[in-house]
Amino acid sequence: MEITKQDITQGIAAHTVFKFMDDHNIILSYVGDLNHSTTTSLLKNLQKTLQHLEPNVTIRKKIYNVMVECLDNIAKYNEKQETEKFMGRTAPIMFMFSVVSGLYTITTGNHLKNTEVPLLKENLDAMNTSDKTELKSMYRKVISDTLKQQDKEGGLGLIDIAIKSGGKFKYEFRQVSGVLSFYMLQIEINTKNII
Amino acid sequence: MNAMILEATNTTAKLVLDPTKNIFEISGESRPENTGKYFNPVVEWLNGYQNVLYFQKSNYGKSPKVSFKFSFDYFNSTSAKYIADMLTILEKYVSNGYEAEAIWVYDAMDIDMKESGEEFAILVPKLPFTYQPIND
Repeated sequence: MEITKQDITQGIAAHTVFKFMDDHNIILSYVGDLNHSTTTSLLKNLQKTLQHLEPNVTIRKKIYNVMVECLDNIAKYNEKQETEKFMGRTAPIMFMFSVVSGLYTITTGNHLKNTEVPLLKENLDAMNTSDKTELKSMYRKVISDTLKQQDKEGGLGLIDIAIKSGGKFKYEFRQVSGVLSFYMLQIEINTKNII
Repeated sequence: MNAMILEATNTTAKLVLDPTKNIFEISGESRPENTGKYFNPVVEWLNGYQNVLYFQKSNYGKSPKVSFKFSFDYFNSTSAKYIADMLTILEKYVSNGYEAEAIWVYDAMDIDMKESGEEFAILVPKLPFTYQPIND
């Protein structure tokens, strides 16, 4: 069988991806459509991986909690309609999970509308400058407000991630069109701060 | 009032609201695809149950104590809003003169779950709230 130029290109790409994942200790990486069923399947896989990876049950539970909320967060902010128009296919999201010497990192990526960026950035900054007590008070306030307004969730997910991870958000918004930006969010869970 | 029983799925909690056996419990993992679809009937049931408590107290001088067990392995932030809704209704029972309490059951290794219970307890100060750690 003849090896085509495309085979070689794909081979190089595969090796590049492999090397990148190996160098960065990436345990799981997913790019594709996100719906309730893919979320459930990703979480099952992550739960199994954590069983082997992390002996401490408390840490395992914490990481799992943060992961679920991260996936919910992508689903919440992912702008499907405009991204489909822009990319010409189902709006893909990105989820990456890595660990280096007790530092677990979750990186997520999705598209959102440019108009949503300022408020989200403001919220992320507010959480980054708050300590755990302030975050908990923020959490209670959002729950009280949503009870009164019958709002669905009101940004509770991000506050929950901030409380449970104990780390600061690293984020970036990269404008990709006049309508859309790519939103990258990184959350770290440092096991040394938990034990 | 009829019992409301929902079996657990991969993403929804098991629910038992059984007035005949006086069992009120929600347990397992809660991250439903459609959170309102799961929780709205539960909230409605709990609101309706207040009429039963009123009837019992008016006719028999006393209504049975509602001890509601919250025994989650995990719940997402969208579920949190509805859990707060449920606790607020239980607090209303107390404000209206009925006996009710929340029992927050959690895995002793899950510090986040315990802390979540503590946050909810602050939101419903009139509702007696007890913590029950369990060891695997």
